[in-house]
Order: sequence, then structure tokens, then C-alpha cells
Amino acid sequence: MVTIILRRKVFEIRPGMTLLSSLSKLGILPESVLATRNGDMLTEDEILVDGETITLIEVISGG
Amino acid sequence: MKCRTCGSKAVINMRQHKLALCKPHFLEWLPAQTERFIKKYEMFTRYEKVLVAVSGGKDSLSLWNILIKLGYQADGIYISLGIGEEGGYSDLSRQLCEDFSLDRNQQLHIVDVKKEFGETIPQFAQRTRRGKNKACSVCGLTKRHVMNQVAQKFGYDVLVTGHNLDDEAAVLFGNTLHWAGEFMLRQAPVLPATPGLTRKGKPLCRFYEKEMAAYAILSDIDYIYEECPYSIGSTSIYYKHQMNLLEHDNPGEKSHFYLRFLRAKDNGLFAPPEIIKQDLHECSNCGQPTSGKDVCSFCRMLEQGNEHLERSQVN
Ligand SMILES: [Zn+2]
Ligand SMILES: [Zn+2]
Repeated sequence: MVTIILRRKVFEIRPGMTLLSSLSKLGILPESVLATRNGDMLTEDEILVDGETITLIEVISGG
Repeated sequence: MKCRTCGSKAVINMRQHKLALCKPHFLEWLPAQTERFIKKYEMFTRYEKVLVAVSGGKDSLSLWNILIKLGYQADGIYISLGIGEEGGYSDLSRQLCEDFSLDRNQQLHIVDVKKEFGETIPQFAQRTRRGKNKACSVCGLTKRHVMNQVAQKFGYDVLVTGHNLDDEAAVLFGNTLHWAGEFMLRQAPVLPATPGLTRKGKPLCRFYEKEMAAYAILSDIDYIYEECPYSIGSTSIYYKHQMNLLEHDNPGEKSHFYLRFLRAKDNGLFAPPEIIKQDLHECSNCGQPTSGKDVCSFCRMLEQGNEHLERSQVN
């Protein structure tokens, strides 16, 4: 499985999909987050592989 | 996905520009674009003194970083609002701004609202009619007042803020829904100086919020990730989400909404420019320009706070 973390929420999703499809499965708008893997940013066409953790950084702030 | 400039692995794909870039080329591209917008909108020059309003967030610290890199004379101003407990939101954001200025050897003005005016923003919000327990309106009013005060006192030519395109589009979206014409007329990348009011500029107004977050992260800028507790569930976040739903289905929509508004305004869609000039005079208390009868809305808020204080002390 792929682990996706957004603030305090942790999601598990099946591997082999692009980041874009994974986000849409989870109902997360790609416009509102940046995805990182081991601290490196990745683009939405990347395929997520089994066992990895993707950390999402929320980019939208108020005010 | 490959970087358009060098063909190595891209870290960001900006669908609205059909542009993917690697880390070094993105970190070159964004300041170069900022420079282009500063010139395009005639915000300021390298001969002028710039005051950057910093909150500790990604946008304002990135803006300061970019202006320093581009060789502008940019000092910072941080306003301590007194939000959160000790070591909480305000303390943490202040620390980040101080560290940033020390690391880069830049001057930072710090104004502590409680020390200066007797109460924190949450206290003002509780006590005054304007607040009605909603801190954001009180906070905005206080920040505008203090920023202008400091800019005037130290003779800065321009005051700049880190508003990005998502901020601007969200405000415009709200103002359009309510047909708040008078606010729409004053929404612009640069507002020229008027007597008593320093020129204001928004050099990041053409960048998506996601681009600014990417810039902060790729530049290793230590910014406050925690949200201001009062912004949770705010209408501005709600409007940003609505704009992003449109953007998602139609890349560039957010940007077009803002840019076509600016163009329409330039073409006189809303009003001929002379109608918007308000009759301003000096506030009898602080001297800043106001359209109010006697004192400005900031001083009126302070007075309300004090009335309440005196009353509660008598009781
Ligand atoms: Zn490159
Ligand atoms: Zn006043």
C-alpha cells in the first residue's frame, strides 16, 4: 500500500496509480497541496509505488 | 515530467502556464517573474526604500527573500498580534521573522500591539462592536493602521505585502458575489501614495499559492505552517476552495478571473477614476487619513475598547 499523510490525517491507497489519480480517489484537490517523497517534491504524473509514504503539504492559508 | 529549460526531472508542473521546471530553474523563474511584475505594474525601483510586511507565513517571507535576492532595499515589519498562548501562533511566527532577518542581516521593525495599544487582537475583538468576537476584521484594520504608521514614520517609499493570486482571486470572488463595487475599485497590484498614505504594492499577485508554497519549500524558508486559529473555516478559505474547483477543471481559470478583472477596470468598466477619489482628512487622534467624520476607524475601535474597559472597571 501507499501511505499518504496530510496534516494529522493518514490515508492508505493502492499502489500503481499516478499521484493525480490517488489524490482524486481521496477527494483532495491537487491545486491545494504539494506532494513530497523523502523531502523531495514530485509532479502529479508520478506513479506511486508499494510501501512508500507521500507527505502532502497544504498550500492554502486564510487571510 | 521533464524541465522545459534543461530536460532534467521536474519538481513542479504549472498547468496554467503549460510549464514544468526542475528545482534550480523554478528558483530562477519565480524571482525573474516577480521582477517582471514589479516593473510592469510600476511598483517600485531599486532607488526606493521598500517595507515588507511579514507575518511568518510562506508568502511574505518568500517575498522578502526574493526582494533581497533581486537587490532591492527591503526592510521588514512584523506586527505581533497576541494570538494564541505563550509559545503559540504569534510567538512562533515572530520568532521565525526574527530568525529570518538575523540570518540575512536585514532590518526588521517589530510592533507589539498589546504594548503599543494596551490590548491584544483577541482582546480587541472581544471588547469592541467591530469585533463581535470575530478577530479578522479587527486584525485587518490594526495591521493596515500600524503598517502605514511605520512606513510614514521611517520614510519608506512603498509598503509591500505577500498577497498571491489565490488571495486576490478569493477577495475578488467575494466582492463580485456581493457586488462590492467600492472595494473592487480599490483592488489593484499597486495603489499609488496619497497624502498620509504610503504607496502599496503586491509583487506576488500573479503567482498561485501553490507556486509560492513550492518556492518557500524549495528555498528552505522556515515558515509557520500552523494556521492562524481565527482563519479556520473562514470565508476566504472557502472562496479559495471554490476557485480551485474551477481551476481544476479548467487550468488558468483563476488567473483569467483576476487578470480580466484588472483589464476591465483599466478599460473603465466600473467607474471613471475621478469618481473613486474620496474626501479624506486627518484623523483628529492619530493624524492618518480617514473618510470618517472625526477619528479614523482604528482610533474609533480603540476608543470603544477603552470605554468598555472604563465601564467594566467602574462596575
Ligand atoms: Zn531545469
Ligand atoms: Zn486615527
